[in-house]
Amino acid sequence: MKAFHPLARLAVTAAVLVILMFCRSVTAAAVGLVTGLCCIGLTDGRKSLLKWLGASLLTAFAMAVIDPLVSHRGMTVLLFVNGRAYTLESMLYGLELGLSLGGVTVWLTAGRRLISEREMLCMMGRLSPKLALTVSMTLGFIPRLAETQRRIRDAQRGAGLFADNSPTGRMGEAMAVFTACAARAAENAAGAARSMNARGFGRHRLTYSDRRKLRRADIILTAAEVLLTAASLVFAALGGATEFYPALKFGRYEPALAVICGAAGLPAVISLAKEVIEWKLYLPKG
Amino acid sequence: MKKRDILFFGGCAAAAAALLLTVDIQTPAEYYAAHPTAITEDGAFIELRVDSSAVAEGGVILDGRYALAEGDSVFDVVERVLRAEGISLDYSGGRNIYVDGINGIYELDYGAQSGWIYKVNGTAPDINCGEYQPVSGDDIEFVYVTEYYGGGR
Repeated sequence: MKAFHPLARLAVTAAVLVILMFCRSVTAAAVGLVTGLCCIGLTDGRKSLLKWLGASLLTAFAMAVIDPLVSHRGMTVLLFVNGRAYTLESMLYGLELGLSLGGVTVWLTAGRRLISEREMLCMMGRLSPKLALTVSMTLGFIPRLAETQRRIRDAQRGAGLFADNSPTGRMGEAMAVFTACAARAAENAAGAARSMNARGFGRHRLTYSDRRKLRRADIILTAAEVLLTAASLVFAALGGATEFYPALKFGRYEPALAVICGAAGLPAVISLAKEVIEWKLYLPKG
Repeated sequence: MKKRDILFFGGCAAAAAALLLTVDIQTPAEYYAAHPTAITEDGAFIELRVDSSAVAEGGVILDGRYALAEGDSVFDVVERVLRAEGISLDYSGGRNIYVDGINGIYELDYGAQSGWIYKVNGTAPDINCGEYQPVSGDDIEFVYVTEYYGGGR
């Protein structure tokens, strides 16, 4: 995927995210999740793929179980919980929400593998430096926090703290690490703000340099992704979304939405698979 | 395992058990056996009518006398009866209920002012059907109207 311009890679990620977030289709959500998992598997390996698969399925299952407890709509009553109907349709709605949520999370992670923070800053900084900085900070916040947490935990364990491996001991360790992590994040934020101020952020005109040029393949891929996104939104508006209430009814354009969602994510999967195969073939045999 | 771990797990188990004890799970058959919709000889009741005859594909969907349980709101009894009769009911909200559709006939299907209103003894109350508590013998009517302002009221 690195062969493509960051704009084309951003278009692929954004297209799938828009479809997952705005077209309430259960099949499109499932297809989006599968393509996202393929990307994760190809970039991070089998172990990471299984981890994300388990987390996504657990999320979908939890949403399917919890949603009927708060929403009592639907025709098919499975149970009555405290006198309120626990319906099949509400379970399926929760399942769809869980699949979409899992898909969006997986694609946000896959997006970070497809476009680096630096590329994002470079691309969006030309339009709006503040927006670029905000997007970059938002997308990078959780991974950076997780990395910082890991380093603080290792340092504390290295110093002989929190040797107790019992559940309450681990909880105590987690709380201590989180406190240190939050303090460090606050210090870093103040440091970054001082540094930006010292460099005159937002006061002067900026110059840019980008050695990557948009090639024909990049333009075609970006245009195709924009078209697929627009088509998915039109199909969803015309009745492609799954109807859950009062009874489950698949939308008229449900298959089309699933195909569009798959087609939007497929370039990333194919390109990443090609890179993996190429790297395997180029490895020296010995 | 240390004493504080035992206390931690014991506390978690006690909290889970307390939560489970407050949850009453019933199958539909058990629920309708405990909350019958059919009236008994000396039990409280309401007259319920669901009417969509104002629109082409409509008609009287339901008309009958049904049991009223203590503490029931208009919505509680209507929801229970419609579920028992296998008639679809689509609504939103928690305590303040908004009825979107009954039997596949939805608000806004027949114009900007079309939708479901409810009446008790012939007049539309000023409070939500999720809060209105009827008394035995009340006439409850859910009517589909195409003009809310003026005509429907």
